[in-house]
Amino acid sequence: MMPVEEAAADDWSECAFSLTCEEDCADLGDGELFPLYSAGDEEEDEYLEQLVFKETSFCSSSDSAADCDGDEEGDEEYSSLTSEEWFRQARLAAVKWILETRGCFGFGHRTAYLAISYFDSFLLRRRIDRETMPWAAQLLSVACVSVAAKMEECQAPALSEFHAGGFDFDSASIRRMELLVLSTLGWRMGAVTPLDFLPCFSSRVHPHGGAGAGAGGRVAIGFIFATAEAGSVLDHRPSTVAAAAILAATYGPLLTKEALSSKMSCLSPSYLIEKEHVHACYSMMVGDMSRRGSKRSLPCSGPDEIATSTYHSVLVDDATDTAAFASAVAAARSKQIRLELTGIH
Amino acid sequence: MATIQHQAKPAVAAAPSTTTGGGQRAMDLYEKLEKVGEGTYGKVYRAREKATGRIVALKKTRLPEDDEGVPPTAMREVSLLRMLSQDPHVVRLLDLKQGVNKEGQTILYLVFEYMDTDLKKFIRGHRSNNEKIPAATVKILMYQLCKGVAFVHGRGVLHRDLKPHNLLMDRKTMALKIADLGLSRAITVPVKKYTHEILTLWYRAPEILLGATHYSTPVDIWSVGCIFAELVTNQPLFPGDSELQQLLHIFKLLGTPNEQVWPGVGKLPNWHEYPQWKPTKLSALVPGLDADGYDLLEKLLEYEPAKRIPAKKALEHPYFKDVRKGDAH
Repeated sequence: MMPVEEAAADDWSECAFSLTCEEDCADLGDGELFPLYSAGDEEEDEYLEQLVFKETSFCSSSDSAADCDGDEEGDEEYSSLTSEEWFRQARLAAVKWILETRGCFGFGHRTAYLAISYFDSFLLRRRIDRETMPWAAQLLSVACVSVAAKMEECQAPALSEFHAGGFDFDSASIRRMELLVLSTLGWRMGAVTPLDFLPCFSSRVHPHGGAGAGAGGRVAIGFIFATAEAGSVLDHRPSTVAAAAILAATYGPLLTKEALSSKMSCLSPSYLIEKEHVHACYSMMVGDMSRRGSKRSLPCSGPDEIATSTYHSVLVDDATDTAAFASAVAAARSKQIRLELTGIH
Repeated sequence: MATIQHQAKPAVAAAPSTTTGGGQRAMDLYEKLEKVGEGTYGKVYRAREKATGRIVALKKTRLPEDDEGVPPTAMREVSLLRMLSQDPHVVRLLDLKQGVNKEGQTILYLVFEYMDTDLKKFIRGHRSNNEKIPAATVKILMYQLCKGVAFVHGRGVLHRDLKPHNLLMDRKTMALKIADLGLSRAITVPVKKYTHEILTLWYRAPEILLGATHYSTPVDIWSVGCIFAELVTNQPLFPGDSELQQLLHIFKLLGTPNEQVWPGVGKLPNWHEYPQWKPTKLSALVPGLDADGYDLLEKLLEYEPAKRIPAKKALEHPYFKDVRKGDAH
C-alpha cells in the first residue's frame, strides 16, 4: 500500500487510496485479509452509496421482463420453477462445481460469486427443460465461470482447461454458451457482489483491524457462500447479504432485531440498506449455524465472537475436504427447505 | 422461497438493445462509409444507419474460433460502457450487434455515437498550422475531460489508457468524450498487468513505470496532466520511447524524486540510483498558462499519487472558475 501521511496537508490525499487496486492478484489471502482502509468515513459513505447505486442499477436496468424488482408473471414462473426438486438439485450441483473449480484454478472468491450470480440471472430469464437440465446446467456453469474469470482474473483459463464432471464440452460449445450468457444478461457483467462491501463493513466493526477483522472476514465469506448455495443470489441484494454476514460473523447468532438495528447504524447510513431485510437474511444465516453448533473453532480475538469452520468448508480447495463439503451441502439443502417455508405466507 | 426485495426503480434511460442476427443483417442495417481507425481490439468505421440516416461509428470485432472464447477486452469494454454511457462525457454505446460473417465466424459490432475527430488530430492540426489552441478552448476541453474522469472514477472504474487519441471530439460544439475502455478495469478487483506494447508510454504515471503493484485513480490523473500540458504547447510533455527513457524524461523535467517529495519511492521495484536532476519551473516547460493554470497542472503532476488532485476536486479549482459559471449543475 502507498503510505498515507497522517498530517497530509492536501485534503484529498485520503480518498486517493479509497479504491486501491492490487496488481498481484491478491484475493483476501491469509495474512492481510482486508488491508486497513485509509479512507475517512465520509469517503467510505460515498463509496457505499456508489456500490448501492450500482447494485440497484444492475437490478433495475435489466433487459429482461422478469427483472429483479419483480415482474409478477415472470416471478411466478421462476418461483414455481425453483420450487421443483430437480431444479434445486441441478442448481446445487452447479454451484458445487463452481466452488470446486474456483479452488482448482485458484480464482478469487469474487470470481466464484460472480459466476453463481450469472448462473442465477441467466435462469431468471431463460428456461431450461427438466430433461436437458443436467448437461445444460453444467455447460452453463462452465460458461459462467469462464466469463467471470475473464472479467475478474489476471489470467483466464483456456476453454479446454475446464473439466465439467461427467460431460465433455468442446471449446466451440462453451464459446457459444458464453455468447448466450453475455447476450442474455445484456453484456452487463460487472455486477456488485457482497464481497465488495466486506472491507468497508469490516473496518467499521473492527476499526483497528487485526486478527478479529481477519477471522471475521473469513467467516463472513463462509456465510455469503452458504447463502449462495441455499438459494438464488438474486433473493437478497448484495449489500443486505454483506451486512448480515459481517454481523453474523462478528456478533454471532444472538442479535435481536433491536440489537441488529443498532449495529446497523455503525455499518452504513440508514437510508442505504434496509434493516428489515438484513435481519431476515441474518436470521437465516444464524438459524443454520446455531442448529448445528460449533464443530471446530477458529481463533477468536473476542469472547463475543463465535466462529465455525462448518461454513468455512463450503470453500473447500482440495479433495481431502470432500466429506466436510458433503456435510455442508446437506446443511445447505436443509436451509433451502427453510427458505421455502419463509416464502409461504 | 425467500421474497425478492421490492425496491423503487430509479429513473434509468432506456438501455441499448442487444440483438443477435446474421452478420449480413448487421451489414444490411448499416452502410460502411470509411474506415476511421483502430481501437484496442478492432477496426472502427464511420457508417450510416440505413433506417434513419444517422451517422454512427461501428467498432468491429471478429471473435476468433480459438480456445480463448469471447475475448476479455471485448467483455470488459461492453460491460463498462453499459455502466458508464449515460454520462455526456463518455462516448455513448448505442447498440450491440452480434452476427456471423460469410466464413461463419462470429462478429460483434459495437455501435457508437459518431464523433468527427479526436484530440490527437485536433492538436496535430493546430501544430501543423503553427498556431496555439486558444486559452479558452483549452479550458473548456480540460473541464470536460475532468468531468468525464470524475464520473468514471466515481463509478469505480480506472481508464488506464487516457491519451489524446482516446478522447473524441466534435469540432463544431467542442464536445469532448472519453472513449476506448478496452483496457479499463473496475477498481475493486485485482488488475491485470499492463500490456506494454499496447499502451502509449507518454501518458503513463511514474508509479507504474517504477513497477508499483498497487495503483489507483491517480494514474489517470497523471495522464490528464500530460494532456493538459500538450493542449497548451501542442507538444507531448514527456515523449519517451522506452520505459527507462520515459522515466528519465520525467525526472529531467520535474526533478528526480526523493523520499522528501515522494515518501516510499525508494522501495518501488524498479527504483535505483538515477541522476539527480533539479526540477524546472512549469512556466518554462509549459509556457502560456496563467497562475491558476500552473497551480492546477502542478497538482495533476504531483509525484506522490496520494497528493495528486482527484478529478472531482480539480473541477473545483480556481482555474475553472469562469467555465463553472456556465455549468448547468
